[in-house]
Amino acid sequence: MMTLNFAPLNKKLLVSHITGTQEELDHLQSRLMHLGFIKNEPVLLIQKAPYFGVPLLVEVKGRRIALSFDEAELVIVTEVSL
Amino acid sequence: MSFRIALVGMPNVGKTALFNKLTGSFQRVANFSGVTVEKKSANIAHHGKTFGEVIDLPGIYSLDSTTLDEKVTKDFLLQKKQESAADLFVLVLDATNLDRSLFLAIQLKKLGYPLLIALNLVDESRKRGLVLDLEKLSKLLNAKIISTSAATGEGVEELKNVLHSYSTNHQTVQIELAPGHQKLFRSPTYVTGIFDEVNEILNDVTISPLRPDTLTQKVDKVLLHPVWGILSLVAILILTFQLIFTWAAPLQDGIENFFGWFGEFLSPLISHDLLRSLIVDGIINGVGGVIVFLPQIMILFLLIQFLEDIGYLGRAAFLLDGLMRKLGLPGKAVLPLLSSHACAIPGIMATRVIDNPKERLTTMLVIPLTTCSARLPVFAVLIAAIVPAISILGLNLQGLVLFALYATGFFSALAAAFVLKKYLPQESPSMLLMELPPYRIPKVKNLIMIMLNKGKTFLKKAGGIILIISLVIWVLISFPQQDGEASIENSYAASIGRVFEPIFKPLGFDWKITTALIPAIGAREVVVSALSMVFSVDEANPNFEETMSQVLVEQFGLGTLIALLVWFIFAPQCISTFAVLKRETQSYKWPWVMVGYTLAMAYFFALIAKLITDSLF
Repeated sequence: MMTLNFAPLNKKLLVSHITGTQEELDHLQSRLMHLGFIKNEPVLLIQKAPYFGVPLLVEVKGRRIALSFDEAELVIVTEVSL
Repeated sequence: MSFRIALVGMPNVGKTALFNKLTGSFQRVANFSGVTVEKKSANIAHHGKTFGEVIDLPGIYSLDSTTLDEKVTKDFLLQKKQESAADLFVLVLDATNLDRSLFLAIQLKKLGYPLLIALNLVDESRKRGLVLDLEKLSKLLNAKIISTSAATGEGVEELKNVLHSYSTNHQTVQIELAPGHQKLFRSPTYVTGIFDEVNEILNDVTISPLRPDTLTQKVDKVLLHPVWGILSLVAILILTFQLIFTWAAPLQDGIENFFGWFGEFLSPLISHDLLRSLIVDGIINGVGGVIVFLPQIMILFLLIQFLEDIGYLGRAAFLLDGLMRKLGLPGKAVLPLLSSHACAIPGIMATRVIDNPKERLTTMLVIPLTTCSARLPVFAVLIAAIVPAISILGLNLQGLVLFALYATGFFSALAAAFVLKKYLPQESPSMLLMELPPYRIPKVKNLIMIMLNKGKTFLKKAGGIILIISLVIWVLISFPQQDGEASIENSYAASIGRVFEPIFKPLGFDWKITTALIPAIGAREVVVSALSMVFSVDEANPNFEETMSQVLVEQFGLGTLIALLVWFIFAPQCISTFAVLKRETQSYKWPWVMVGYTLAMAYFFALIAKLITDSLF
């Protein structure tokens, strides 16, 4: 279990759940879920820039999603070991 | 009342393109009542006969609304208010993104909506190998499905026929939601449940699945690369900025020349002095002053729409978001901010790409600080008066000063954003989270239609105020008349200028300068000709700028001239900006806030510049 912003690149990951303060959940949980971050959904972290402040690029349900570092911190994922 | 058809669907499903194809005409752009969300509507015709009105609703993922835009659409779906009622909803689905777009279909079906579905972008999904059992899908969703492509026009006629047949025979539905629905719509179990259904349905109806979009993957490898991506972004922004200048400049000159010529042509035909002045200096000048903005507005929106349609705009925001956010602005603010170096009017209009209301307001409020092209003539005359034409290290000193003025404007805009961030009310959270659409080839017709609509909106919504104020300024500088003659020294403007003289005394501005600043409220560049009027310098003189600079140097000290230069970096000397800000914020409060803080900055920094200069020289 780890947060998406610290997950490894190009490894198959599964979404576990969305976490955060009540305020963060109110703001972001719904949007995250509708973009496909739901339980057991496979996601792929495509890009994480080496410099600070640049967002993450993630592939979910066949599309590319841009998330800020802080937004990605709310998504809890597990690495799928093959 | 006409038959009202509302288009609903996720963002980026080609709803607006479909809307344009269905209506094919100029849209009416207004705001939804009480909010600053843009409402686009247009008539729809069948065999040349109008039978209804189509409304393009903001994109939503589900009925769980978090943003203002989403709430507008939700109110429509729930028929909350009389003015937001629709007789029929057309749900637009993205055939290349059914995993997500079917969510809303199932949610609406569960609530009991009779659905008419436009399965859009089928040309693209077909190319990527998707084959669906549409009959089965139609049964499972209990909905009529029409395959469409707004890009090629496929299925649009069929959809029109169906809409027409519904218009003559339909029943409006009213859906009541149980209390606590918002909580339900948001609960992870509910959302996951619907997504499970989406997967089941897709498994059921997919005959051949969608191939991955390898083109987008390849292009993103370059355009989103931490190094190459940033470099291409800078190149694209510079190119956009250049095109606004180089394409718009000749058109603007043409418009100005035309109105100048037209005025000269009419002048001898009107024998009455005052009437001639009203028509030539007041009306023709005023209309010209509105139309002159059109080239920049239309070119900027053509370019923005091109970047949006090709799929790049979201990616530009992605690349810049981290950097811009530290300053209180989202990544998407960069395009409006840069384009306002050409002119603040299109820049403020372009802030519509920013979906967070607070961030959009912040961007709009700081845009007037960026150095627009109307400041150039003022800067040119003042720099010529102050800065010697010498070279330092092979660089032209005057050019360096001009660059410094641009930089000061830009950085003060960023600084103002940083401060405003702390004081503006936070309506909804700042968010980057978004889907990056696949790259697509833009349709020229769509681009042109949007460009024309933006131009029309500007003329309709801001043109009127700009024209009225131009006329007021004309009255101020043309009256009272003496022996049928008007001179600016004796005008109402001069009286006002004299009233303000004591306030501007610390900056060294005398009544002549304050008087010249009054017509410059209409447009900054006018200050040069206004100064020439108060100092009686002939504008037709081929060495006009040099003569003007010389007169200024003779009349004023260095401190005053520098103070005037600094004044023009910050001062809100542009009524069009006020008018557009009023329209975009739907209130007089924010335009006055903008005027207030920029005036304060202008006065403060001009005073400091004057005091420092005076103590040094």
